[in-house]
Amino acid sequence: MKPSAKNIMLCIGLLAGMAACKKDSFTPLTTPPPGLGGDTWAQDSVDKFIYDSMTVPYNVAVYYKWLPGQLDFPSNITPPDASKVIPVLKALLNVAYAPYNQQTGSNVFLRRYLPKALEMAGSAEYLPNGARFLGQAEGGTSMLLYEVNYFSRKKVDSNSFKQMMHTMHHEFGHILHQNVLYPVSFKTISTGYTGNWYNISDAEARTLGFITSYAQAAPDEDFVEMISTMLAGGEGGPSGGYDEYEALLTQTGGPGTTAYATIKQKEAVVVDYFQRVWSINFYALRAKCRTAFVNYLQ
Amino acid sequence: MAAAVMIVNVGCKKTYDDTVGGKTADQRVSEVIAAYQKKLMGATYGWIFVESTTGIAYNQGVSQTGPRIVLAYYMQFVDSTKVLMLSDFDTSMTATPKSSGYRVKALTRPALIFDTYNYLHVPCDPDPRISKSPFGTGYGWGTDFEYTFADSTVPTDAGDTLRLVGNLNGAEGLLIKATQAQRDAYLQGKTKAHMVGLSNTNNILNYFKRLTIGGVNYELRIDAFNRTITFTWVDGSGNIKSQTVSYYITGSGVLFSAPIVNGSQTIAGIDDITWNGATSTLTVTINGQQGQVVGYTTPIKADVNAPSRWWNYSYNNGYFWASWQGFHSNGVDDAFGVTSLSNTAGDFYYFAYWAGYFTNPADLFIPVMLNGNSLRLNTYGSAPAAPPQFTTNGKAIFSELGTVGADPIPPGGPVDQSNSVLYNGAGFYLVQTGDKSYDMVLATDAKTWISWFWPL
Repeated sequence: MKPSAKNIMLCIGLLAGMAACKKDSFTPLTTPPPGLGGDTWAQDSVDKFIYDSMTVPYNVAVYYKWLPGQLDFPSNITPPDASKVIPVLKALLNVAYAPYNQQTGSNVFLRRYLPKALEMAGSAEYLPNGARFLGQAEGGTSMLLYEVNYFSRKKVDSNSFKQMMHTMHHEFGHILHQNVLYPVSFKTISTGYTGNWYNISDAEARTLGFITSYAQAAPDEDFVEMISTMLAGGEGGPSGGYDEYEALLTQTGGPGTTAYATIKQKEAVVVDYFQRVWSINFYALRAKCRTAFVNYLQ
Repeated sequence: MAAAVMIVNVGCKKTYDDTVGGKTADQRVSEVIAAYQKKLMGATYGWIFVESTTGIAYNQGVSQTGPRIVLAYYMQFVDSTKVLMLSDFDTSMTATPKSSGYRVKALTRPALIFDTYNYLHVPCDPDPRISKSPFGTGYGWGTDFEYTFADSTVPTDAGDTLRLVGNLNGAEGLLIKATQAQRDAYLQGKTKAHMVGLSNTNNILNYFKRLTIGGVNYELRIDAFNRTITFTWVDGSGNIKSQTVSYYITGSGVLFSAPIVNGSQTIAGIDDITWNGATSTLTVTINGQQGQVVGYTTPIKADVNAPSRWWNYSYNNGYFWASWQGFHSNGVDDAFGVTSLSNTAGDFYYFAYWAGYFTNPADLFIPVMLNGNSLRLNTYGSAPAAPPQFTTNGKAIFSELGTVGADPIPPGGPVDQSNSVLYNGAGFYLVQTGDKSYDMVLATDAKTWISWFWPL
């Protein structure tokens, strides 16, 4: 309904009426609304670890306790097992953060660009189409990590560990390009971005010039999937599970194919972007990520 | 417009008090939160939490329907953030209390939130590998871990029971103050003993398990997956009566969601169950009385019309009854290994009985195979005469007209062995287990049966 002149007149009338109101006795509230400013609780060892290892050095708040409405509402997501929080954070610090610190020389880079809120969920978030969220990044301010309850640093579970690191690098990649966008020409390297990416297997996507099927969702996803796959490997490789980037490239058909050339072209943009925008040697960073990962497995 | 202006005028005079008892809404909410917190922590022997689902589970605004279940937990709210609990969801959750976080918080209404993972979260985990939920990927059993306090009274007047309603799935919860005896039973691991006791009914190899208590006989049927127990009995007029209830297990015994009522006898649960290996019977204690559960080869009273009802349903609807595992025999599920059947037609999906499949007429008894994304008939099967012989004492007797399919039936294979059972001259009792499900029990000794469901 468009406001008619009559309605506007009425509004003015109302305003005038309110302005005429005299509040004789005004007593300010002494009790704040319950929960305003967030909940507080007795700090235990998990909270202390978060404060000492995440909040002080990186200025990051970690939310692991379920807060209604904080994650996607109304999804059936379960909260993390508190006993998994410290192991996951230690893995993040050692395998995802430490390589950046070593490469940039200090924690200043991460302290500045890491999203200020890290939210954790115990399970994944399942979509009605059968896909599931393993991570989300929102406007450079928060990062959401799912499937915390599945964490294990054992070698036999390295696939799920790698997936978690992949998710972290993926989401951090979003944060980076949300701060400084990659060259617009990246968006035109490939055509064929589709909302139906989940109907395409990773192997099939590679023959089309996308490093993972999710990369086919949109240029932003393509860009960060390139980053995370180069740093942490990707799913659906020749081994049947997680494989390193080079192994995944064989699924394109190899050098000489259009798909191979397309992905290599994207790789060049990513490497150039890291060097020019963030002054980070991407290949050196990748070497440090791989070493950190292998050393962390038990 | 005139009315609006009047309202403005009235609103101008602030002559009323918007507090209740001199307290603002925020002050009252804070008080209620503190009162619930105090109440939860004030139970000396902890709480028993009984949660009943509605049969609906939600994810992202999309709902799925499935079985209703009732679960029981023992909880101790040790301080303002930590809760310890035990659960009857699985025997592994009955012995070691697991610690996790909780908080009482003001949402739209005061809420109790179990904010880190515990036994309570397992049945609502969206991963079916964890929750074992039949509702599908992305859904648990329709239980909750975030609840609204649902009593209409203030916490101090709520007595020994607090009502909760789940915020996502609407599961109903009852927090009941535990007695010292109830707490001790939990901490002594009695829950597991009762769970094992109940599952020991499977040690009786006969399908028909008859409970005798106070001189009254009941037939028991336990569905451990859906957590239900069915009592069947014959009333004074000779009619078959049946009541199916959800069960849950506490340290003090097996309890039913609603009591079984048979005339003057009311059974609200089973206090104790003991297996006697020597006699292959169970001794149960109900209402302080001892009773026996004994295996029988015949039903307490055969449902005489069940065989024709079963057959006609398939015949009239032009589709088949399906069984996930084929025959169970002598305590072994999938006794003939039909589920591992794999050949050019595909991989075993379910065994089918299709009444009137052939127009000449004949039925069809054959595995249905999964091939890619489609179902197709196995390359060999059997054609029973249509309809089977329905006896006056409530049995269906099948006879073979011939084999069907491009391939011969491998002798001694799963299909051959299943046929041998089907064409046993003793015939089968049919027991209706749900709206569209039947168990078909071989009448020789009732140690062999097949469970049919309607796959549409």
